[in-house]
Amino acid sequence: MAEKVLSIKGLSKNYKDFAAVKSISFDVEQEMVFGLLGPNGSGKTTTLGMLMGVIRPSGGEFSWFDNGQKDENRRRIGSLLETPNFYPYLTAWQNLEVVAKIKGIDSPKETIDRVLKIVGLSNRSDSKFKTFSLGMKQRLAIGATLLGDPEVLVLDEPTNGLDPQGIAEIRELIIRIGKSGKTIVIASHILDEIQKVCTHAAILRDGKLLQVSTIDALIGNQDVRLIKVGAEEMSKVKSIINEAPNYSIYKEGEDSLIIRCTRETTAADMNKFFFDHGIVLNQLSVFSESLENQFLEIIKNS
Amino acid sequence: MKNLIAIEWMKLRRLVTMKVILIIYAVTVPLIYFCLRFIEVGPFSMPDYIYEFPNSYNFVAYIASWFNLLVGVIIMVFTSNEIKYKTQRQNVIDGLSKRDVIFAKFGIVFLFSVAITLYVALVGWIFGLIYSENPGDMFNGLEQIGAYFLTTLGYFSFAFFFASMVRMQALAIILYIFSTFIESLIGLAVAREYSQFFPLKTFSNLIRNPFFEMVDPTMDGQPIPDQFILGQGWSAIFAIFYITCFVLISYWVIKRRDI
Repeated sequence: MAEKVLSIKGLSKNYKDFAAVKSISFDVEQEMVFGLLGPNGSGKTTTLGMLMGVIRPSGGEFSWFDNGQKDENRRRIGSLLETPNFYPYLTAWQNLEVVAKIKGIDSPKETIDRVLKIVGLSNRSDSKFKTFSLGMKQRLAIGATLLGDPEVLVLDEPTNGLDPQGIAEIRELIIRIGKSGKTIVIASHILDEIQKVCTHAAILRDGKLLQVSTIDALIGNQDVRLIKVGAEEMSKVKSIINEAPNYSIYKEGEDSLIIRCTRETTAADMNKFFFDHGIVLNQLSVFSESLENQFLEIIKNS
Repeated sequence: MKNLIAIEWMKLRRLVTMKVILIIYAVTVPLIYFCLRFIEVGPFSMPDYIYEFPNSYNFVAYIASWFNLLVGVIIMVFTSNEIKYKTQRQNVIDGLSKRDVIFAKFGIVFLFSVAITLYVALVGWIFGLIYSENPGDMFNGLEQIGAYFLTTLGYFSFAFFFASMVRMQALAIILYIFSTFIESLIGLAVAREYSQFFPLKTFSNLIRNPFFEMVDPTMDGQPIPDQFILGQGWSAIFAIFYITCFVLISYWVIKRRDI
């Protein structure tokens, strides 16, 4: 059996009149890329904050590396929670120097240079942090998590605020790091992101743990595909769908409909179905955000 | 601890606020002291013995103590930056314990007090050497330097404590600058003569006012009201008590707080 990196039992956080995290339990084993999935306000960041020693749990316990909640454990973890936090008046290099010193890294110079190269900030290493764009700040924060080659990465919404290219780069980076045998815990509200990079996932809603499983099991659960269609006579389209056994209306638009169908249904199937009913479609697309919506389905149905 | 101080120094040495305030301090303190000789009020002018040992230490320390609040702003900004930029939080995430966070800052507070105390001692020593007829007295009056050290440590601990408790930087700095004034007002309103036991008052009582001693207290035939004034020794004990409280309370609160 793989070694346990993190073990959580009944972890809870109550604010005055509000329970942010309600007794959640799960284990993360070595080499897992573990996704913590849930909408905004579901308790992801609070959970990670407790695991990283900045939020005091109201109840329950957790243990890193079978070594309890000792402060020294965190030096073996690279973590980015919410926003990148750095000293604005220090340069990128100087900021990483502070982190390296906290982590007790022996040869900081080479490590810092290497990490800056990985996140593509080598040419800005002597610029002050306050001059950085949001994307660069985020990349520097990811760089900071890689200092000292930690065994575990804990990332909270790592692609937040990045442009599409930045998002792709960071995901690529996480996948690469994950493949190199590191354990990663990653929180996100974007199912697509979790699906692309994770091996396992836990779903949170309103502070409650709904489901923990492998990604394949999670995605396979949902035999839903959403297809968007449009035609001249929308009322006719609607009535046909309402009578069809395999299809149902997911969402109505001005001049289009989103249809819920089985996972096997292709665009060609749909086109043929309407053609057989005497309707020529002028719009047909497999809904690109379907994964997001599937995730919402899970949330809604549980 | 050495490692913690090294970390703090990485952050502090590039803080512009520190450089500006320290330059103002380093230039102004000896300058004011030097300019005292030019003061003339009617027939009265400053006697030369204000520059001689052992008085030189007391005078420099007293003048330097006017700048305690100003220098404390460095500690204030340094500490509240960590909250404002959420770097305190990040330091903990990266592996410091909350205890480390507090004691690293207090270590800096302590070293800062040592550094500017040494500077004040140096200024007093140089003036003494130049003006004293008997330079052999240079070891007399050094207890005033010790008192100055405690005063600065007190003010800086207060700045550190205050910045840790009031988490909004701008508000914290403004309140801090007016804190002596606010304390005096509270003292007048509720505590009267006991207000000298208040922390900031205690810290400032540590330094004897050398100008006051130059003036005959019964000058206009009126004896000064019979008021109990805490001696330097007692003030020192109270000061150490307050400093300990500031550090321990900060630690206690931050230990329990979500940061």
